[in-house]
Order: sequence, then C-alpha cells, then structure tokens
Amino acid sequence: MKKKAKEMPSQLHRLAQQLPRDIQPATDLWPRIEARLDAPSAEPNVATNRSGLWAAAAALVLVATSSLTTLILVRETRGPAPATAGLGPEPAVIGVGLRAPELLVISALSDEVRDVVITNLDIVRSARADIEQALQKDPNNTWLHHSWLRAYQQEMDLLNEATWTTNSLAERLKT
Amino acid sequence: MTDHKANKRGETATAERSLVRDAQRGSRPAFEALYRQHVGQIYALCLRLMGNVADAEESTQDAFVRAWRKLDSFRGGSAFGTWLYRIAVNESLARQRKSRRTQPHLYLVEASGPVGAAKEVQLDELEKAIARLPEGARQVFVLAAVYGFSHREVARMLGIAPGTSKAQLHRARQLLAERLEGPMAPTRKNR
Repeated sequence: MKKKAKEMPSQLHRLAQQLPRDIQPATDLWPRIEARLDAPSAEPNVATNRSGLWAAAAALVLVATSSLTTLILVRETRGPAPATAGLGPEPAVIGVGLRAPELLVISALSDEVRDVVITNLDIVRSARADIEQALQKDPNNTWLHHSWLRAYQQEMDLLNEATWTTNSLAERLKT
Repeated sequence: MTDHKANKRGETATAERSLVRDAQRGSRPAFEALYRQHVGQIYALCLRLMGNVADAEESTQDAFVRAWRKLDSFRGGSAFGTWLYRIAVNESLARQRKSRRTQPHLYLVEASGPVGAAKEVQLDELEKAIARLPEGARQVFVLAAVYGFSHREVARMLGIAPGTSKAQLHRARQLLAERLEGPMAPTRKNR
C-alpha cells in the first residue's frame, strides 16, 4: 500500500508533464478578439478608480483614528474596577500577524491600499493587545470588555471594508 | 543536429521579437500572428484552469485582449509566451472569481501530437480527473504539476500562502490517485 502511495505521485507527475501543451480551441477566437481590440478599454478610468481607492483609504484611516482614540482612552483609564460577573472567559490574546483568509483579501488590493489596510490592522490589533493586557490586570472591568469588543468590531469592519474594496475593484476591472 | 535546433530556436525567437515590436507599434497583423503562434498554449492553460470550454474560450479572449492593451509594458525581460501565460492565469482566475461556478464541467482534449493509444487513454483520463478536482486543488495542480510553476509563484498568482499551495497540491494528488487508480493500474503492474 505504501509502495502504491509512493508510486502514484511520481507517475502522476510524469503523466502531468506529458499532457499536451497545445490544445487548439474548437472555433477560431481571433474574430471575437479583434472585435474587442477596437472597443474602448474596459479598464476603469484611472481618475475614477483613484477616487474610489482614496475613499476606501480614507474610510480605513477613520477606522484607525477611532482605534487610536480607543487605545489612548484605555491607557488613560485608571478608574476603580466595577463589580461585574458573568462576562465569560477572558478574551484570548490574538497576535497581530495576518491570517490566511486575510492575506487572500489583502493580496488582491493595490499596493497603496494594502499598505493602509495592513498599517491599520496593526494599529487596531495593537490596541486590542493593550486592552487585553489591561484586562489581565483588571478582569472584571466591563468598560474594558466593551472596549475590547469595540476594537474587535473595528477590526472586522476594517476587513469587511478591505473585502468590499477587493470585490468592488475586481468587478470594476471586469466590466 | 543540436546546433541546427538551437539555430532554429534562435530564428523563431528573433522572428517573435520582431512581431512583438510591430504589434507594439500597433500592427494588427503582427498581433494576429502572435495570437496564432500562442493560442494553443494559452487555450490549453485556460481550459485546465477553468475546467470547461466556454469559460476557457472567454478567458483566452480576455488574455489576448489584455495582452494587446498591455503590450507597451512588455519589455522583453522574459519570453513573450511566459508573459502571456501570466496574463492568462490572471484573467482566468479573475473570471473564476467572478463566476464562481461550482459545477465541474467535463471536456474533451484533442492532443496535438501523436501519442500511443494506451498513453492517450491515460492522459485523457488524467485531463478529465483534473477537470473534476475542486477549484483550489485544480488551480494549484495545473500551475505547479502541469506547468511547473514553483509554489512561491503559484502562491503569488492565487493569493494564497506557499504552504497552502503545497497542501492543495498534496490534496489534488490524493484525489487524482483515488480517481485514477483504475486506468493507471496496468502501468504500475508493468513497472
């Protein structure tokens, strides 16, 4: 069985290499291609596209600013811990590294928007990490819990915004 | 003989460079000649990536239209065919993202060169099995195993991590091995 399993990939590999590199389409595609060469480019107008990108970038900057505000507020909070119960387990610490689904979304963005998204994700996650540290010292602080949830929501919004921008750009590039 | 082949390749490359230059200056006949030269390879790639004839034809058209519009950006750093391949991969993936068709389609492959009957059956079975693979596994298998792109290149093209590319290739191989066990068994016995 082990031998079979070993043989199959190498045989598959050999066969895959032998697949024909050249397959002619059943119909001549040139007339349709030539007709499209005359049509105006379907690529989005650069000015329109840029304004869209800048709008997306501005939205992301707003989210980041809001997160920074949260961060500053959390750092300045030294009030007494309110008595709370039943808030559930302490939130797990989540690193600021990008996860695979996020990479998929982010890699489809243009360089300038990608930089903004990554920077803002770092800011939001760093804010969350700070809140988590504060929560470790003061686990019953409901305000900190709310702040953590708000930061998490902002992170989700940021990723949604990036996904929307990616999809929207892909749609516009194709139409 | 080797020199003759090398000379022939050199002549072809020179002729192609000349066609590219003419096409960059706006010559439609030159671009059509480039199309005729490369359409088989581009269509084969699109067919394998898309898994059905209709989308493969559309992607092939998209790729050549895009290539025409981006001709100015081709600086000759790589072969024209390689440049076209990358455009075709991008166009196919973009079309796939847009349509997100989940139903796999079978297609018939007509090999351009003469091959033995038994081998032809095996290759035909493999083509059909590739077309039935899940989208992600099919894309990785086609790009990495059939066209020889590295996992790094595949990852960049598909927007996934290199580790995911490796995992998808492993998955594709497993699925293909399961599906091809019957048709491929005689070859194993002969070894």
